Amino acid sequence: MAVAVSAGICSFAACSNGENTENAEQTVTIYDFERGTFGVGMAATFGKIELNRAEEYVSSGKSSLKLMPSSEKSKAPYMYLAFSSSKLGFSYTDITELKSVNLKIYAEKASTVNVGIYFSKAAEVKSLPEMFTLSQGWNEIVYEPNYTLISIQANLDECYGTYLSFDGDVAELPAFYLDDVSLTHARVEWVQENLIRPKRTEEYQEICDFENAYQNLMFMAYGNSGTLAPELTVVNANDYEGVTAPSGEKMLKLQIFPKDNATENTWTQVTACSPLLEAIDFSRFVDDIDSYRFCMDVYQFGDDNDQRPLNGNVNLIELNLYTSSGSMDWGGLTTKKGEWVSYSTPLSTFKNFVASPGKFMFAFLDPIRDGEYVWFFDNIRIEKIA
Amino acid sequence: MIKKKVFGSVVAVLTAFTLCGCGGQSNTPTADYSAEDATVWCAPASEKVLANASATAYDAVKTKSVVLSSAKNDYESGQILITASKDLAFTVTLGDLTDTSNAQNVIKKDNFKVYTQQYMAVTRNWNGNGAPTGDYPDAIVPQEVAEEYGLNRVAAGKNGGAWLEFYIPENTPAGNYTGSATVRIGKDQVSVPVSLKVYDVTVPSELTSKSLFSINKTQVVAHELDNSVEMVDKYADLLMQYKLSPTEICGNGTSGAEGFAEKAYRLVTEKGMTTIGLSNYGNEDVNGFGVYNSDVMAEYLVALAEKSLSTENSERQVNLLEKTAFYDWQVDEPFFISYQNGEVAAHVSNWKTTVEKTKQILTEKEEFQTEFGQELIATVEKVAHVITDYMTDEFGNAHRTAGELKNKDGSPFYYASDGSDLVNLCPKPDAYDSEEERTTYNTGREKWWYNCNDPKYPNVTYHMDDTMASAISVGWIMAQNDITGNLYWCVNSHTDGNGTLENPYNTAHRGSGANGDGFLIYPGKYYGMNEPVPSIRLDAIRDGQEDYELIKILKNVYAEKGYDATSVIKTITKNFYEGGSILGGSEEYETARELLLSLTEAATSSAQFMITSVAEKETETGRKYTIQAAAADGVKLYEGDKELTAENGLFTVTKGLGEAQNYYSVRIVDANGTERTFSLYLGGKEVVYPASAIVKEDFAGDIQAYEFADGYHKFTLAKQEGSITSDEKLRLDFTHESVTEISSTTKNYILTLYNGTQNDIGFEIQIEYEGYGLESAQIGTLKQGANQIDLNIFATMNWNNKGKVKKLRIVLTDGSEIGIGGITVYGV
Repeated sequence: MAVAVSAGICSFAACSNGENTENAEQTVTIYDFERGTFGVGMAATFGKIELNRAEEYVSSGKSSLKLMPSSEKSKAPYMYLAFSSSKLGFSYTDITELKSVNLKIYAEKASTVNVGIYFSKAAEVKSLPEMFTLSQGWNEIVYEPNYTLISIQANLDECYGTYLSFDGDVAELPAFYLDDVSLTHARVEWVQENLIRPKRTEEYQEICDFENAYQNLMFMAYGNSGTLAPELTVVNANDYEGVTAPSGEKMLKLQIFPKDNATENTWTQVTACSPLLEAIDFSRFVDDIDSYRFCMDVYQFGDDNDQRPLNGNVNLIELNLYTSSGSMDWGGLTTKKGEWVSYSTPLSTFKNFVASPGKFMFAFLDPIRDGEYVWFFDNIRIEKIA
Repeated sequence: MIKKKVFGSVVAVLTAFTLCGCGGQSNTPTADYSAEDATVWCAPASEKVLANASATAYDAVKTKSVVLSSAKNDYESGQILITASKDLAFTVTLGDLTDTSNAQNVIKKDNFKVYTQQYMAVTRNWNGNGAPTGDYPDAIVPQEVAEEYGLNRVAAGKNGGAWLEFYIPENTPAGNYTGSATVRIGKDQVSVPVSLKVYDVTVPSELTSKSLFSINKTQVVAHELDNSVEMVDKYADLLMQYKLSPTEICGNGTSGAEGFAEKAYRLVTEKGMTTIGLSNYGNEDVNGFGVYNSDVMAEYLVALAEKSLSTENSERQVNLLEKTAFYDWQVDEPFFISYQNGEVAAHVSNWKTTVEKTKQILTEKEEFQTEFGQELIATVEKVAHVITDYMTDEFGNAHRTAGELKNKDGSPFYYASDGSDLVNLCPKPDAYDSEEERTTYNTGREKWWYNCNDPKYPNVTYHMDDTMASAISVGWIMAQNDITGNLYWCVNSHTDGNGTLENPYNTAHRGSGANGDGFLIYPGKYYGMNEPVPSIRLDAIRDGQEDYELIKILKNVYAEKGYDATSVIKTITKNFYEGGSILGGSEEYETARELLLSLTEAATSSAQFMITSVAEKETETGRKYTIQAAAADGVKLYEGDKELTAENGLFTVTKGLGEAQNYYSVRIVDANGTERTFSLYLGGKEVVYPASAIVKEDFAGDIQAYEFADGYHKFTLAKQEGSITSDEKLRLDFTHESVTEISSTTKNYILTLYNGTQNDIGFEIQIEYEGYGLESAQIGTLKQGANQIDLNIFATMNWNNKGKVKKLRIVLTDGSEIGIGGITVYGV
């Protein structure tokens, strides 16, 4: 197991006064909610958030943030707080010396809360969280990010803030009151483990075949439709009658839940983690791109997604591969119920992405009719054209 | 062995940082500022007062009191401004308004609201109207919230403003009302008088116009931090308070077509929603295209019909289909967006299918055999199928950048000019600039239009750097042209190319090339409110909506008597707007509105006074206005002391422009002896200088030859020794008294330039001002023959640093045969 180690210089506080304060910590309050809800965000499926002025639910000052998560539309409703706010006048997006996120949370009844950090503007891409048990009343939480684990899925340079999610698997979630959110800066020691090692030969580059444990974390799914969030899990093909995985035994299962009204098109997106893209090193294909093709296998297990066929195609899955500058290469395939579809396209279809990889994404136009919409993905790869 | 990784140090970026809840000073009696640190003044609500502008920039509109005019059941707004010489905070309290002739008549302050104006930096003028960059007022936060969050503070050297909303209840007696506003600044209180004239005319509660203003639900959730049905409904409620209807609200929180219809009925009858917006429901393959499903759409129409029928003979009987419109957003803007051949046609044909299916279903239902049931069936075909596009003719196609529309087989696709395709085209204001083009939208179907980021000035817009008059005029132009529906693409888009904005209150331009495009409502959650925040632009739109109804009343009352209000409406709006374009600003709007109120009151009064025509004619003795008016039997009209005589029921007066200010003024006395006056300003003094009143010595420049012939001072120009300048162009200077008397009261300076050549001649008119120099006034091309040049900049331009006019210079590309004819000057 390869590891990387680098030496520290000095801590956040120590540099300013020259003292030898190797383990000095500095805590800065970033949210006390006295100036409104700037910097606060929530998933469309979360529920409701508002400012609270009832004293018993305020830790300091006059206001706190009342969180009313709902399990109606999500199994893990989440809200988030940005580490940067031009309105409130702070920016702490560089988390290289973030020791902990501290917060005070009042729970109306005993419950749990998950705390993590996130890596896209609206917290679609989130780290695995840490769960905290809450007693009824005020609780003080100190969340120390597990950078070793988080770095498997995310590029730490792209951290936007912290998120809280709640267990939506309960009948009725209580309300929570949040106050005094602070960050403790100090030198942090952690280990970077190089777990992402996709298989590679001259003729073959694995992107994901879902057989390795780390590959459980390589893709994330999110939608913007305001209905139940999509679910993404690695499953065993043997658990699905009539389904055989094209490679190994495991495959990625995606389930999308239909939207409940029809006034606008919305999308569900499945995106590959940045560390995976880095591990693949697409640049090695640039000079010989015409010798390779991109391939993957997709099985439509559920109903037809034909609510709004695009260009006449039902069950269309788009491949949106973005370059680092934001331009997009497009690919598309259509699936068939009860069948594996082997998709293959020249790698040059995505030549701009290969030259400068930014984001790798599958996109689905959300269905709006009741039904079960499930797909399996497997054997995502680049292979040499014989 | 696991080794630990240690990061290097990084200095966190910390810009400004305050944890203070109220953001600084509170406006308390112990504050360290007072009224001495402020100038309190007023301006009409139709004037945007920038926070960073010098207060002297508004000298032309500034008043010492809040002055309002209104109808009944009408909202009027005013503003009190504070120019601070020291950082301070302010609040305003309004008192009751009392009738000056009857103290029993009181408009209670409970009908009034005070908001605090919030400012947004406009860093570039996208509208193209020459408006300055700066801090524009837009969001208006309820004063109590503003005070709590310190939003009522004004920095030294800046302007701050209170936005005052007055509602005049329907049962308010007409008359003149007065009261006061109290401005508190620190320990001091400053009283500002308020006066309101209530005209004896009522804005109807049930509007005749329609609107579809779209609420983006994703943005509601993102900014209000609330994904409940109720929060979206609050946005809809706010729109309805401002007399607008949301695009698709009846599906919010309801299930299926029946639930939709129930909510539609409730919103129409309880909240005055004017328009039930249908969206594209379901999916169907029509000629290879994914289109809304006609069966599903028919379900919704049937549900609306059934709900309507259930109200038959009740107090709240209503034909919901009459209020329904389907905005087909899936083929939005085909003039701009390329759709596949046949795609638009598929949407058009599928609506006909939907209508046929709906009619068939209803016809087969026994309960629809009543008179009302039959009326409902007949209404189905009239439900608007709104497509945001121009007509497919030479006029409409001139707007197309996406190419002409085609059928699937590649043949041209045309919208029906007679409405037989059941399409309600919804073009932009530039479709109404010319008489010929606007008539192409008279297809017999209900007319719609919309505006967004384009076109810009001079077409009317809702842009932040555009005037309030422009936003208000949308309602006027609609009423004048019988446009029923107004569409707007989004009222709450607080996002830009990078996603949802962190702070919707500080970004005017969000990437569409127009400041303020796509947002008229702000999220209230940021300031602890559980409801959205309006804007002054939304207020202007409401003014336009109310004026629409008054214009409709005027037109209908005239029509009932067999008269046409077109002429008088054109007259009162001639400086306000023309076609789909704005001409004037605050002053022109306020003048037009006062006249509208006056005319509508007079027409609906017992006197039934109506201006039936206003004709303008150029005669040998100058411009003449012939005004004809009608009145009820027994009504007497006086001009001064002279009683006017009617001929064929019409009282005719002819007026010239001989005075400094020229009016058509009549006193109307009805059979009961009730007197009212009506006055219409025609214009300033007209002074005509025939060519014979001008002499050769009034000219100088590159004159090679001169003669006075055919009524013109004719010149051959060529470079002379010691010529004025060295370039190729030729110059003719004119210093006649008509030029040296030009001032800020000169509305039009019209001169006739004659081109005696066979070719077009490029020209530029320059004006030289004392202490300032030469400035270009107009550039153009002279066609062969006589050309009338109208210099109309003097009354509206900035005269700062400019002294008297010294000369007018005509610069020409060809001086071989040029002539100057007579001059006509009009005062303001």
